[in-house]
Amino acid sequence: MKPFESLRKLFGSIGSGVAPGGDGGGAISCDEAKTRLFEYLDGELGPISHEEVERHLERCRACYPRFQFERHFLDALQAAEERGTASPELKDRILKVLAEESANDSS
Amino acid sequence: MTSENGGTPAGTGGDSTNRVSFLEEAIPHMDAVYRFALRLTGTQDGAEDLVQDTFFRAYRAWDQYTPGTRCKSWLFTICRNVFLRQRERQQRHDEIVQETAHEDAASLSREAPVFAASKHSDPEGDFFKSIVDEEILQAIDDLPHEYRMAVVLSDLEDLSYNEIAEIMEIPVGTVKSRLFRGRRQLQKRLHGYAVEMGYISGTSGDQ
Repeated sequence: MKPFESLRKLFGSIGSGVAPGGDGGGAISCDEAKTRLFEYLDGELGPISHEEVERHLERCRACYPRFQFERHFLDALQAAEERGTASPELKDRILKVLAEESANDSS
Repeated sequence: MTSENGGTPAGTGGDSTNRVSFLEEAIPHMDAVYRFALRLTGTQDGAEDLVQDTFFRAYRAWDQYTPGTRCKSWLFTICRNVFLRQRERQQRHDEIVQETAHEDAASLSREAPVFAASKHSDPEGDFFKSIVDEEILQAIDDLPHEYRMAVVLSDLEDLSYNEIAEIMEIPVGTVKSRLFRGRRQLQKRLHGYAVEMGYISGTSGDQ
């Protein structure tokens, strides 16, 4: 859901120095792009707004580091969490409690 | 002519069917609920008790759950409520988030003090990759709990603003400002840590 992949692709292609085409209306300023930055990264913008930010990023090298910065930050948070799991003991305990509860209900 | 579509028999007897659907739909989210509980309580024991309480209550309220809606959000809502009730009981009014700051979500997104501070030494924030998980989780645990909840639900559990708003019983705008403020506080702390560890230089290159 979160558009990290599309960002990655985007900035992957920017290295070549050629920004993908598409000009004209709907251009937004750096200020507007930054205002929508988190919502963009969170996949919370509507399709039109999302595309405006994306198009801005295609052209604006000034905004690129800021977006990368936030992406690295969010990636780090997500990576930190992946390992936490409930212990097998806890799972057993809960299943036991539920089994007792349903036995009580049906008696 | 079987009319089974994976749903639960709404309100009808069928205790065992109920139980089976709970095991199938709710139990698989136990790890996610555990992680959430761990971030809320800060201790493994506290988290385990909270998870057990959450699933017990969820089980008893299972006929109020609408099949096919997001079960994980529903469990998080219960988890949050149980946690808040426990906190009330313990009377730990330690962290009260000040919502007085009239900084809106937009300006919180636009302005980035930590980015500005590391712009010259590490403009793309590569230092975040060097920070060990424990430090990141500790930094999250130390956030005021309303920020922490928003950050955990969004950035660790990947829920949408709308889902978080429902769980936390606040408007979407408040979700954004809490989330963005939480992120900013976290960045500040992690940046400080990275400087301390020598991952980046501490001098702000701002002219």
